[in-house]
Amino acid sequence: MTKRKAISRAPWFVGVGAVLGFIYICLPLIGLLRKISWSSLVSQVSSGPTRDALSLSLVTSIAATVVAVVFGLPLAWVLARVQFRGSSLVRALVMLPMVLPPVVGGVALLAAYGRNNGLVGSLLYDSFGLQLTFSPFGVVVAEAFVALPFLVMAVEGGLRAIDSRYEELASTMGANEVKKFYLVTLRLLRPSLIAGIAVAWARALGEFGATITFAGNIQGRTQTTPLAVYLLLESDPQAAYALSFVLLVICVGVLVSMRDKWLGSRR
Amino acid sequence: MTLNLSGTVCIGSFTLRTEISAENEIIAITGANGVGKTTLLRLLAGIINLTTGSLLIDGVTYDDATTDIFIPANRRGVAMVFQNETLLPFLSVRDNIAFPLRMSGMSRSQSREVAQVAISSQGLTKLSDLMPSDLSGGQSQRVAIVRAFINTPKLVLFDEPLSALDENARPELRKFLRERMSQISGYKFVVTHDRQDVEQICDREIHLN
Repeated sequence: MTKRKAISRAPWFVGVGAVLGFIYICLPLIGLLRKISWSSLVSQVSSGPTRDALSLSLVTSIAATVVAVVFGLPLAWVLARVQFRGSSLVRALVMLPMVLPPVVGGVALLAAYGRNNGLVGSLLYDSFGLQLTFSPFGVVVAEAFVALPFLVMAVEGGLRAIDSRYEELASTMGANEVKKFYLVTLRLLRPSLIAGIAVAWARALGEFGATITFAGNIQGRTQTTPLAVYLLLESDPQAAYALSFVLLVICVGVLVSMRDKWLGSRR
Repeated sequence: MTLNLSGTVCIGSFTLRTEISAENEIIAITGANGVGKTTLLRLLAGIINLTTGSLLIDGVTYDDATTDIFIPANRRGVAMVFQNETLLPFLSVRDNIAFPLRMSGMSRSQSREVAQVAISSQGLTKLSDLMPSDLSGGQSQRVAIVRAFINTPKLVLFDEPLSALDENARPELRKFLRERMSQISGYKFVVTHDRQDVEQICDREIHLN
């Protein structure tokens, strides 16, 4: 008797739904690609305002990712490993920017860091002369605010999945808390941390609502790539498409580099 | 020179009551599953602490529930080997063996040299650049044992070191273990289910129940 190979086949209505869903995602992407004038792509992306926007986006999104790592790593560690009352409330609050409308995030940032009547904004300005609103620092603050939860989520999951025996073993071999963290925990955490960094960076790069609300839309100063795309759509659609394409390529790049983590390998 | 442990440790609803005294000898720890053999090793290692009671080694208090004295694992001079996966998966065999040396302050290059000498003296030269995932069960345990003795530990804590191995790989490693443990003075505990381990490696047996 020959064994029949098990084939999983979707019922027809599931199949139709899946195909329609796939088309729904792909259609806009195909539309975008069709609009691009490939011959002038490079010149459009490298001209004045678009180049400014791209370089500002690059710098601020990397800075925001650094901020997200500096704050997110300890936060994830505490959430994954410390049992304390109210931990689920803390987690919910940390994850909030992920679901909060970005504009609301921007308004909240204004209420906290606004120069004139922000919770700590006036203190920052009076004491250090630091104004976050309408400055590149404000862009970083807004981007980090929305990117942080993505990093925390990836790292917390990674920390929970680590076999704690390796860390215990490192202790028995003489590693103190700091060495244990750097040489063992961080090393075991590397895939999750890289995934978290990638998705946090992509989120920071694409940030729109919180940035425009909190930091404004000043070319060369706070106008990031998504803001430039939105503005250019009125004045220079070709440049808007070209910039959109650049963002699309970057996001696809992130996704491909993370394929083992997210796209799952069938074995 | 004695080790005295007396007290309890509570983890959730699990409670282990224990009273042990040991000298320079190899002690087998036996008992049914779930009786707390591994917990006992973790207690001695300083990974977990006593809920009540105290642990004294050579007259020094290592753990005392009433005075809150606790010397953590990294300052106890411990060598631990588990049933499997004792090697750090991201370090080569040589770097695994060098790890305790580096932790004790030796430079990277010097620790590697010392590790390489230890590897060669055990006839494991071919393994030194391999990663733990490339090793067989017997090879991993052998490397783990070499690493355990690289720093002359005061406390040797082996948790079923041979149970994951083939029956025919065990006699040789038993001999190897017995030799290495006899060479150092300290407190040596081997958790095992295997009567032959008890008889051929150990001097004395403590049965937990």
